[in-house]
Amino acid sequence: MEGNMHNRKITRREFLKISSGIISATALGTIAVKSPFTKLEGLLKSAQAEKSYKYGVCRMCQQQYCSLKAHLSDGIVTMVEGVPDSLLSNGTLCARGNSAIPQHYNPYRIKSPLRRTNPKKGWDEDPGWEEISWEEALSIVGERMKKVRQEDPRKFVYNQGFSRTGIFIGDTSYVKAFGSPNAFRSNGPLCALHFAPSSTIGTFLGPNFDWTHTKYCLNIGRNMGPSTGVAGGGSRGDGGIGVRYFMYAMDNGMKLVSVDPRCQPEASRPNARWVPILPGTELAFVLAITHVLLYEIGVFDREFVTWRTNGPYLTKEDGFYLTNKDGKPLMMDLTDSTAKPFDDPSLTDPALEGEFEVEGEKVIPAFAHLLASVREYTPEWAEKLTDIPAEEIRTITNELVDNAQIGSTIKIDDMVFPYRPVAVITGRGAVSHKRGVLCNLAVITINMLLGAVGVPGGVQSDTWGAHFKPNEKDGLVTLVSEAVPWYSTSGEFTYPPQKVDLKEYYPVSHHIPHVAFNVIADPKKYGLEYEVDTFLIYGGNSIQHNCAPDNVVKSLSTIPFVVAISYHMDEPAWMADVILPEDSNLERYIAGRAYNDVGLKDGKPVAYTQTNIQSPVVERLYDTRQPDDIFIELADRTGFLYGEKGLNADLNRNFSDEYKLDVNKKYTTKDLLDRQVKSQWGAEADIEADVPFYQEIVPFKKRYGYSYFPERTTRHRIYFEHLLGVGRDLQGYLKENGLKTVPGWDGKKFFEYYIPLPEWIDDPDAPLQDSEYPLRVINWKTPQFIGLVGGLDNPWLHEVSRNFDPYTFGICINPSTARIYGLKSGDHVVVESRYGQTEGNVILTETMHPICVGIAGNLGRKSAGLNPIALSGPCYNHLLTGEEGRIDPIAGQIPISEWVRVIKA
Amino acid sequence: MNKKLVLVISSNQLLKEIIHETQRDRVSSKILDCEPNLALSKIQNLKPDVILIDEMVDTAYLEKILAQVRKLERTRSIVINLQKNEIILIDSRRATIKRVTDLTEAIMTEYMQNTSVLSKNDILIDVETANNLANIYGFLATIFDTRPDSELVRRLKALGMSSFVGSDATYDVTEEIIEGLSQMSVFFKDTSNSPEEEVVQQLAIDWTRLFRGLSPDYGPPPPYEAVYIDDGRTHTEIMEALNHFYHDCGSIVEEDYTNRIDYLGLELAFLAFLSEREALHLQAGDIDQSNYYRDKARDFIDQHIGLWAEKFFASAVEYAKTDFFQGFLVFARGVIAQIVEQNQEMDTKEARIENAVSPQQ
Repeated sequence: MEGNMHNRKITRREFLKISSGIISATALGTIAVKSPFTKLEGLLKSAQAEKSYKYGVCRMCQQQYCSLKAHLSDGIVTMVEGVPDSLLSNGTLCARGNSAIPQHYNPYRIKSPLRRTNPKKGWDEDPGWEEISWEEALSIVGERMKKVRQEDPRKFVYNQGFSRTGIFIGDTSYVKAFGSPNAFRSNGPLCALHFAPSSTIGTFLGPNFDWTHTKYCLNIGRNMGPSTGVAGGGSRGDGGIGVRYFMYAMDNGMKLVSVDPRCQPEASRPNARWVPILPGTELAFVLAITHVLLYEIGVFDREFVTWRTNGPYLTKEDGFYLTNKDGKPLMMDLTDSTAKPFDDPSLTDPALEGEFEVEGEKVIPAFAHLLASVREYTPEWAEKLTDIPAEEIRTITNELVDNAQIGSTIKIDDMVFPYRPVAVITGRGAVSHKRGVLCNLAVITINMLLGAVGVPGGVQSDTWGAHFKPNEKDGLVTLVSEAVPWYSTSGEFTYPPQKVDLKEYYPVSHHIPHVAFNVIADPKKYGLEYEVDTFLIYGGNSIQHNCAPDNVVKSLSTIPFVVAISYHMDEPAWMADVILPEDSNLERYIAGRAYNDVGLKDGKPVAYTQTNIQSPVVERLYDTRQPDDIFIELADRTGFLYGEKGLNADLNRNFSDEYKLDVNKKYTTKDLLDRQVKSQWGAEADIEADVPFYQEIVPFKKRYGYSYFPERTTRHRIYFEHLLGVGRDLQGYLKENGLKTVPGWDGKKFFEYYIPLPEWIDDPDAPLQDSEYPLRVINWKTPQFIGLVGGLDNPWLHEVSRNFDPYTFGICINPSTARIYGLKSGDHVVVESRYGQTEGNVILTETMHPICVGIAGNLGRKSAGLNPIALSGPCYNHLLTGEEGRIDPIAGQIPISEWVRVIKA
Repeated sequence: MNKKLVLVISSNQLLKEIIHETQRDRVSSKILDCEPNLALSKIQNLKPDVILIDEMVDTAYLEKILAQVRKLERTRSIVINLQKNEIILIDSRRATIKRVTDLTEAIMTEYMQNTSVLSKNDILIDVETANNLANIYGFLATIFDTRPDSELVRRLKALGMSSFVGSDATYDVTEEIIEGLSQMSVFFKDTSNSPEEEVVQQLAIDWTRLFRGLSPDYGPPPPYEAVYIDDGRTHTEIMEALNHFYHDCGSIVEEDYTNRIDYLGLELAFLAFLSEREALHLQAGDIDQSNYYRDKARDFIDQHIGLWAEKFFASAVEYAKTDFFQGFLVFARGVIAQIVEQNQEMDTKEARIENAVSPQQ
């Protein structure tokens, strides 16, 4: 028979027969794929595609507050749009929201678990990815985690970021149940802005202006408008009030003054003005405003300072409060010249100024310290540092006072409020510098001097609600939900340090991933007695979203086992040993947090609370899973899901009594989220309900913090004794353990920053000029790319950005500066700081301060695994540093702006 | 009806007994069995009508047995896999039958097929061609859709691709098909002494790089139609069009399919589906319905797979690191090119006929 195969011509039919006998599905036997087609002959023949829609939650930015309606044709999402009744977005979705479609259908998503076969890691190393089954992947990761947990649980680190939003199981819960102290987030390096508002007025973000009542807004270095809130961003938005609400305020007569190195689009409106400032000098500007207010105009809201701040608290020579035997701070009542505790009902006329002697101790009111601290900060002094004319500073201060309407009131619902339609707000442009926390505290101080805190027209918490409560011990606000610890470190310091991000040394920081990666690379230098073994990354990108990304890569490369739960092949995934693929946003169950906000209903402002919900809008496209299900599975395999100390038990704090979990049972994401919405909205609520959200309108007065704690029921900090206390305690602990200072800070100014009142600190590590690097580089968020999954590699967003944002993807330089350096539009240049360099083409624009070089967004991705469109544009972060001495000693945050030079390539 | 001879090849005594037991009362069949090491001579001597092969026999025997069976035009083969105390049977149309009674029906179906084929030779040719096409499409789809594991490697080794290597025969097919088959077989020859895990991993890495679209630079652009079609339509519009096509042919993609519906593996599986329907309807005597599916397959090639698959293969072959996948891509490219060419020939013929008829109209 075999002879038939030779020496003759074989026809196609014969060949087909022969080859079919060999290369055929039949020959493959049981492994031949089962036909993925179901035969519906006679049923669907020539049928029209089924049209339908489904509600969901937009998760294309970290807020997840906009509802969406997805239109489906035969199971394929053809359009997404906003939901009109959703009060945050009022029926709209921004470009990012609309790009949920390519985010879902992205052909370059991770489609199944992957294992690295090449142990070498680096940008130029081929990882040799091998797709493996979920069972195999979970088994590999689970066994590794189990081993680490048994040997030394500290060696397990969990790193999250902003893209974690929409999941239920938090990182701190997870590591707590695991037994590790190590959870830190990639969204930390620029989070200096949380400490000051958290510890003074009870808001994690902001403070923000009151878009319904503010008439004069002074913005110092904060991105406004579209940076986060294009469709949504009501009173929230970590970049500012959303565009719709900003425009509402402007249309209703609000005046905006934007003190910033860059003229933001909002500052170019007719009733706005741009005041250019040198980056990093904002504190000087704010101190000068305070000086003019207190010394030149001499007007402040005395009622507020006396009765709603710690301004009258008596302080000793060491700067700490004078307290009674119960530890309660004392005030001097001028009525009877008696020192009384803050809660003494007989207090009538607390002193704000003067020197007193109480029981042999010389004391002065905290406010007197404040007064003295700004005496020298004249506008002329500030002009030299900030490049803002002294007269401009005086004009702005006068405008603030004029608009504050100190003494006026307004009735909202059934309640009479102080009315202070003036707000001074700030953001990362001013706060993310070595002097940044002090600047932030100084900004809040101005608002307090104007009495414009928590009342109509003044600065507000990011969401309405009782964010703080009175503290019986010192009478000052205590946060209901603490995001940033601002209390003393008493009892918390350990040596050697246990945490890989050295929280022991930066006790009031938020998240400091740059510190963590320094430590991982060289643990002994920092006194850490163990080395990280297993690193779990989800929803964050500590490489791209960090300063000096190449250093992070080196650090990650030292970790023996890295697991990334990832949507696409971003930088951390490229460095991973195992990748577990996550669902797209439209494939998930989502129950947003119940959030309180102020929106527009029928054109009028309303206060409301809302929880957005979503059951999967579409079937899974690939073999992916919802992250919470992965966490649960790994916890089960590792052995920390069950029992009274397990993950289930910790999660129970999220549920009302009737919906608490059986701690010894395994649940799914759907189970958890259903219990969450039922706990919030009652038994009728259902995660699978065909509704976009659960919502309740509340009386508008609840929008204001004042309504919860009106006159004389609590006080804000205008004197920051707590910061002094943290510094004192930390110094004590270091000394007890034989350390001169925090590792890496020898010869650097550290404790000089732990002071009770902001002051300008001359510091060579925060220089105001650099002879070799004459320009200052600045950065701002872009509406399209805010560093979340499926953003920078999303072609729709690129199209929008390239068509509508002329300042992205290039190096922005003022034309006058360009002339000096012989540059013209389109020139390819290298921007170089002392820490790194990046490159791009020159964009000439008058919107830059002449000393500044502007680079937008977080572009120029590095991973060879990403869509090449994501690699385009200059990468700002390569210019930055997170080294000791340069970072902010209080919040531990990196300086956002460096001195640079521009070289024509 | 003549009594049909059924040969059971297995070392599993239980399996052999089950077959004997279930077939005992059937007057139309005679059951014989043998150990795998004796199978080749038994097949040569007996030329059985149906061979039931236990899938668990040694790979080396399996390869030779299948090669031997392929040389017997009238002999049908059924592969049986004993799993979880169930008998799983794979017939030529890849239907899965789990009960012993179904096995009986399957054997009888093979008889019936043979009987009807013999009486209608012209239809036999078309049925066979359509089934063979379905088989080849099915093979291609399986490779696209199956993450390489030891089972796949074992199966591929048993295929007998080496029968094309060094053959003096000339084939009326594109050179790529022969080249591809040869290169695939070279891989298994070269790795015959390598540990199985190593071979599996080599293939798995290549498969992941070639077909899974981890990134544009890591491998070729993934084999999704919308990635390769640049006619102004969005990805979702192209997928909508595909869905319409699938529906129009009375089919719908299974909900548990975990890939985009414009994946090349799925499009090939769809062609297999159409060719199977073509054969089934022809065999049942429904010429119109058979032609409908044949024409739909041609349309699908013209409107979809034929427009872009070539671009993928050309790009992917540059990234393939193993001989197997280099050969597979060349082979698949050759198969699609051959089909496209045949379609074009048919189009030309039809155009000629139309032109010839037109003046009289």
